Amino acid sequence: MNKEIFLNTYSKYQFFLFPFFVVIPTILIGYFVLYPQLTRLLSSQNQIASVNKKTVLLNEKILKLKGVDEEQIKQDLAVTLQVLPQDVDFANSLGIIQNLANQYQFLMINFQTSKLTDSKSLKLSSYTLSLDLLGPKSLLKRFVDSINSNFRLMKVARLEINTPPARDEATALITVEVFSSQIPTSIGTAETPLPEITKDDEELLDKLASTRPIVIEEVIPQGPRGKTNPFE
Amino acid sequence: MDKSFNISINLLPKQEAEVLARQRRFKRLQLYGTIIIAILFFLVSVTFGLAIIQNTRLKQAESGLDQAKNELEQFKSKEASLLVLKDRVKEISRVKSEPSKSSLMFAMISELLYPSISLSIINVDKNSNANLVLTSANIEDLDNFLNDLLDKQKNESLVSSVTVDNFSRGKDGTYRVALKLKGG
Repeated sequence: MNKEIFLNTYSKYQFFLFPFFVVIPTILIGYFVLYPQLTRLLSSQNQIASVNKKTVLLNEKILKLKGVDEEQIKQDLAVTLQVLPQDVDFANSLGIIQNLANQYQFLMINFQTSKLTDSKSLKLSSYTLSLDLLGPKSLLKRFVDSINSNFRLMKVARLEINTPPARDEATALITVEVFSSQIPTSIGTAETPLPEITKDDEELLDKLASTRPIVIEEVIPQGPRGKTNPFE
Repeated sequence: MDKSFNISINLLPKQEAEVLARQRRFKRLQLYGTIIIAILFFLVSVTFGLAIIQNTRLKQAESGLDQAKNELEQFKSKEASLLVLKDRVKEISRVKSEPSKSSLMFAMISELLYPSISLSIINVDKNSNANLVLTSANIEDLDNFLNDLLDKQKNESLVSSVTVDNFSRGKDGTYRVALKLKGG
């Protein structure tokens, strides 16, 4: 009886019911299955493209690294670390200035050092050396220039010069800013592009290497250290 | 003469004919519905198939990337050296490209000084502000020197203003001038 009613009702409204039973599942399948699936397809397509791109970049990077002369890089790095060391090197910079002072007949009467300060704009740190000097005023300009153009990265920050009249003598208080810089601790990710040493960089490195002072390492014989009686 | 006539006469009752037409329309509707559902299933199965293929391709691409990463690991120290070198070179060239302002000021003043003028005191600070004490017996040279200091071409745009702090003449006829130069 029920079946008959159902069939009668269905045959009466079949023009509305059949499309309804087709359209609704179509919409549901389209929205819940087809659309997410298509979106996933597109996103995984992009993912594949990006992974392939990364692989190409890495392979190019590997190729470039294979062509890099490691020995040359190490030599250049050693030069740049002498020009701009990572640590405070009061003794070295003082020694350099002392040598220059001797070269230009200046006498270093006194010196003072400051603590290390970080530069705000650059990745550099610097400390200052304040030098009391006495020497010929005719050579003062050349002496100042020699400090600025020195192999070790330093700059004359302040100058206070007194020159007595009719004498080729000057007393100078020269403040020299000496730079140092920390070595970067992170080298980035594998995808970080490889930095290129440009022609200008090569020229600078050649120039630095040619002005590099020859360091003769002195072997100091090691004797017994300390005193048995410090008050002696 | 043989003449034949094709005459079609629908003898079905009107009600029956309507039922048949209705059934035909419904069958057409069923056909469209089936086609739509078939297309839908086809699309679903195609997308599932593509998803499986893409998954395999993604895995292949990722394994290629991992391989490249592993190969790159061998060159890690070389890469680090190169990065540090580049960083250092950049910093060095940056500092070298900015010459010491105080030295430039000192050099410019030395260039402009006349032989008759002697520089007794010169103080130049980091911002290239300078204090000078000059002595000279020649007032004209002193005047010219002051003019040169104010000349943008001659002072290499290093001086923005000149202030005469003190100007005196000694018993011996020597002029003594104290100047304040503001760095440009």
